[in-house]
Amino acid sequence: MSVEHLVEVRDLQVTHGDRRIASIPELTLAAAECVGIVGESGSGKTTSLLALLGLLGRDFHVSGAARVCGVDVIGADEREVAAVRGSRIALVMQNPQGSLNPTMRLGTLMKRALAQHGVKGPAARNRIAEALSSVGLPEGVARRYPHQVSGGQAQRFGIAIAVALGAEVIAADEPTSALDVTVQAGVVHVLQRLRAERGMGLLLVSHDLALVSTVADRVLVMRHGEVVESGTARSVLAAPAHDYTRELLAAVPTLGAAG
Amino acid sequence: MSDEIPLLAAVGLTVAYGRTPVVHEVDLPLYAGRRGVGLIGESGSGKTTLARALLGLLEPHHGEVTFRGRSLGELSRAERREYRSQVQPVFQDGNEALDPRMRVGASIREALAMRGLTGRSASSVVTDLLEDVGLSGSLATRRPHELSGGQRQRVVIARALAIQPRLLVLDEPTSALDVTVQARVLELLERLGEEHDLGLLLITHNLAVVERLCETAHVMFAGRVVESGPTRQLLSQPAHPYTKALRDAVPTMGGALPEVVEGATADAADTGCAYRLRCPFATKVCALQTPVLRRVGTQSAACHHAEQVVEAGNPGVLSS
Amino acid sequence: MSLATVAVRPSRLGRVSRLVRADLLAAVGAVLLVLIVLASLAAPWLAPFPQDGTTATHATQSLLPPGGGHLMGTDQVGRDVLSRLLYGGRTSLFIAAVVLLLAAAVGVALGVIAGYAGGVVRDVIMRVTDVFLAFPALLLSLALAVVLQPSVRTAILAIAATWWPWYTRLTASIASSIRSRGYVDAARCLGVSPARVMLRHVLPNSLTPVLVQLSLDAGGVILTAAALSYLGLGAQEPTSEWGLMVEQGQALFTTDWWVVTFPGLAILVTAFAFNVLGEGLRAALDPRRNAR
Repeated sequence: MSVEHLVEVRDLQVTHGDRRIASIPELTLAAAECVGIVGESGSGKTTSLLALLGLLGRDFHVSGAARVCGVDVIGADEREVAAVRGSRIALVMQNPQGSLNPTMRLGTLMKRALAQHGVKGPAARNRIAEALSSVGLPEGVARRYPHQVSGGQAQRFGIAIAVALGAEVIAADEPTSALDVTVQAGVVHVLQRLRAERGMGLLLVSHDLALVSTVADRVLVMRHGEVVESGTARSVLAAPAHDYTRELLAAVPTLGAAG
Repeated sequence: MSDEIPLLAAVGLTVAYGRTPVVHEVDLPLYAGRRGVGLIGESGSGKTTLARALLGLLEPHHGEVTFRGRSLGELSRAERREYRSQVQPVFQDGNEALDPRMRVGASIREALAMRGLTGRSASSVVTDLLEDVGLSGSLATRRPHELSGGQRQRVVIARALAIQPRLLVLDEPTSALDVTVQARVLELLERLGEEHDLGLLLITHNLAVVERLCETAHVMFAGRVVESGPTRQLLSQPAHPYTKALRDAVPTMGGALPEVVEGATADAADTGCAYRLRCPFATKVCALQTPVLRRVGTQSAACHHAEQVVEAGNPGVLSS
Repeated sequence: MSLATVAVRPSRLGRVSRLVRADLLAAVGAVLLVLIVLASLAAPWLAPFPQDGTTATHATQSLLPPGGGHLMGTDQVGRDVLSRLLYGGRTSLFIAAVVLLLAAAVGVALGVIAGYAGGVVRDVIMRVTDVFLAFPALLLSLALAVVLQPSVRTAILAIAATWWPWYTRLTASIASSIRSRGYVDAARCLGVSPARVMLRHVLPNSLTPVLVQLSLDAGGVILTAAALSYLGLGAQEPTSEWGLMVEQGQALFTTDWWVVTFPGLAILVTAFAFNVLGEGLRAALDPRRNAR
């Protein structure tokens, strides 16, 4: 396997009991690249993402080959995967507020996350300031509790943690679905800037085809746990080969489509 | 249009939780029969509160909700029954719109009973209603948790239709659904609107859904209606900066990444125009004077700089 | 797969039978309870010395250890402990059943009204509830006993009077959350009357936690009744009652252990049976449990 890919997946299979939940024949992600994984509920898109992060429960069986930043996340023991998670690949979830401990100030939350990866003291403070500014948050946010910030700010903060930890890949699971559209655009811009300025790779799981089409270089369309179509975003969206992709495209309500 | 007495209307309606008004002096007339009206707003805009007030589930603090020109509080028993049968809600699936303990058929029969239909004749109407919304009549014996999200939303629509209303108030009816399912529910609403001569008040954050189903649209920000007008013009040439921001923030298939105004706060201002803190058009006057709705071309907008906004609102995004 | 097809249209009986299969512990509880109830009902036929359950005394046979003619020995006045245990079950279970029925009927009704109506109505009901909660059960019983004759009936009234507010509190909080559900709004928009909305939607959807709480409380009621009996405010000699038996026997524990141990065990086993049944009910009555 080549080193230049941040994420490299071959024949990933996730099963639960005798049910196959997700299967990805091939997926690569290079630096500064964005791969969108698109599908509806039950398509296995989130499960695939969690498998890459080693976050699936014991009752799931994962097979195949998956390397994240050079580490085999399927074969490696839990400690190794945990080290990769956070410092190399970070998860950004749909409900930012719900994923933050409500009893801690945001600054404390971030300090803890850094301390877990061995960064403390002034170095941690610098990193925090830098990470917050990179996602467009004022430093004062660090003194607030999760419920005192808006959904958009909480989501930016989630991304800031990834930046502070030095993650090379952001795995974002419906990062903007719970946000208002005017807020969504800002969060997407932050992700785009991190790709351009820091070469971060972005795995974007979403049901929003239009959103994915504006961000992703390549797209995987999933349905019932299978990848039904993959390719560059342009080709998949302009000339979909699979019926389901066509159905999805037709179903997306887009502005200016009527009349 | 203005000569006709609206079936249902908000007149100078203000609703507050505690001391903060969530809906502020809103006028919104709704007419019966085959007219889609969209109410667009983001979370916290007050759109759901407005809907609940229109449905008589909340008491207004100032102003009133009128049914055929008469305030809801002053309706006689018979008029109130009339109001209940003509205006029906369709809530989103997320908040248990169907009683989890009742079979689907029983939920619909409860609505039919209000129309005086019970017993065997009701059962056959239940089947008809289910089939009308594209479901099999055999689903009547199921409980809500045994259905998919799309099926549940259809049952909710069937229950609303059971009482033969003239106006449906739909609060985010498809937001919890997958896109392909959403598309089919929208199709259903379109068809039912035509077949049953229904008025629709569609409350949503999704502009594309409003564009598809509604002739006219209202945009709410911080509890006020900031722009009203024919949907197409409103979206192609917005006269309020918030409408424009909303439109521009919607990602378009294969299009460029939407623009954002960096550094602006999302908060609403307490004085003057509530939108001025994130408005690129804002000037001194916006801080001093609260703009009121005024005529701007085909629309009305509550903005001191509406003409400028219209000019700037190049409809390039909508070229398709 | 066959389970899934059954779940499509679960009959009440089907649900109960699935509960039995799924939750062995709850089934054990149910079986124990049925046995306890049946044994109490059949006391006149099962008791080796039926008269001992009521009025008889045998001064010459006092405090015989278990064995021989008396499986569980005899008490201070020579009565067969087993016979009194069987008769005592009748009293104890009767007290528990009536107290819980009364408390739940009043408590749930007020709770549903408070939770659904909200506002001033809720405030008034909840303040009244607080006043009753501030009275210790024993104090109220003392007061009642002054007015009425100390008896099982007095004990029942006293315990029920202090027990219902808990159900009001529980039900009110559930009902007020159910009030904001879509189906309640939908019913109101149909013009369904408040009373019907409460009966058809709010009450049935509030009952599960109440039912569970009832079965969890049954043991507590039996124990409280026992305490009242001890103070002379509840069941009176020669009526058999488990609490009374425990209180009478506890001083003898070091020398004649059987007098207190068997009624104590009876209370423990009954409370346990109610408890596991309650837990099982909680799981079985959740309509979403059999979703898939």
